[in-house]
Amino acid sequence: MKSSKLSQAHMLLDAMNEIDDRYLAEALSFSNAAQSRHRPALRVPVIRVLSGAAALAALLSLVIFGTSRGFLKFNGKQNPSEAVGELIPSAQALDGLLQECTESVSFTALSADALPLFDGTVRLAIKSTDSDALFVSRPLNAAEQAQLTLEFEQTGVPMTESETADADWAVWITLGNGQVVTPCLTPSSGNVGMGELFGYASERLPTKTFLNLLNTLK
Amino acid sequence: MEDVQIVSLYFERNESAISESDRKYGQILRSLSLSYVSSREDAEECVSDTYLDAWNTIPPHRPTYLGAFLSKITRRISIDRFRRDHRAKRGGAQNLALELTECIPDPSSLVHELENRHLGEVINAFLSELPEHKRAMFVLRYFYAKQISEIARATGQTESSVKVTLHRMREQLRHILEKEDLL
Repeated sequence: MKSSKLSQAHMLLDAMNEIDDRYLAEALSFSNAAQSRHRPALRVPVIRVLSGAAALAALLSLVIFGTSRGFLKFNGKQNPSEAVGELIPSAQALDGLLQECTESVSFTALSADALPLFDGTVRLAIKSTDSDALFVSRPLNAAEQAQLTLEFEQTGVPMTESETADADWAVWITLGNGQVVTPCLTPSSGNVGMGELFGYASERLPTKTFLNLLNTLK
Repeated sequence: MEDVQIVSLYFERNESAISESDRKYGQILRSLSLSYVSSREDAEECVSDTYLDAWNTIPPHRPTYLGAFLSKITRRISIDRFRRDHRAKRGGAQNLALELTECIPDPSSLVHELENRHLGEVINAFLSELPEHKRAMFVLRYFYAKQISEIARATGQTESSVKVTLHRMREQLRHILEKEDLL
């Protein structure tokens, strides 16, 4: 009976008001995060301009100080392995390190559904492109999170199409508030996922900073 | 302002509790109400009634999630209003049929309340088994009455994926309700 079915549907609609407040708050956080992602806020460019200006000022003062003291020589060659944020040599190097991480006891195999995304902790999640196995790191400490911040402040280097196609692993960082990012995409508000490990085609190679972090975690 | 501070204002019977609630949740509540009622004016009235209800309920109640608490009130008031308006627009035979429903014994409001609670418990148990993003999809759709496009944006999925996931969740819930002999 259509009318009885409809009245039962109304009953179900009323019963939705009994949904636990925690789930309502959780759903609101998804909605709010999406709104802030799509809001072309004036604040973001201002913050970017300010942080860019601050970084430039710091760099200039370092250059002036370094040249005046003689320890920075522009005609000399620096050892690239010592530079902070040095670009890693290839996508294969990243893949190799990710493989080591998944074999480490510090990483736990989990199903994507069991991955906690709202527990307030930052984690690394790694997945092989040809299997469903997901490997999740322990929660990152403050120093490791600072390394991540540094990684995302750097540009990285664009990957070639063949490097993108050959990548054996995907890697994400879950921020604990539902947001998910990856060091393989250009940092931008459009490249932030919400509530899931999104698929992506790599755009950039992470830098040495990220490599160092993986070495710490593995 | 944090929820706990706003709730304290209610407890102190400070009227700025209302303005702070509106500042933080007014937009969400208006949008929620507009999903059920037909005009902005009606939605505005429902939201005002929400604050009045909250003012009368806090204290003694002390909600942990103020947004969820206010949303529940707005939703209930808006659905009641929608039903009242909808009923008023019906004519002829339907009105007569409605009059005749008065001859049919109705379950007491307490029974209705208990049925709702039980149904609510089953829904909560169902939701607790879902991963966060699927749970959010379900709640955004059937509690907050959000459009599919808005849910897709919020959860980072395509609209068709949201539709398919919601369809599967409705099927799952139907099986559970059948098993529990509810509805």
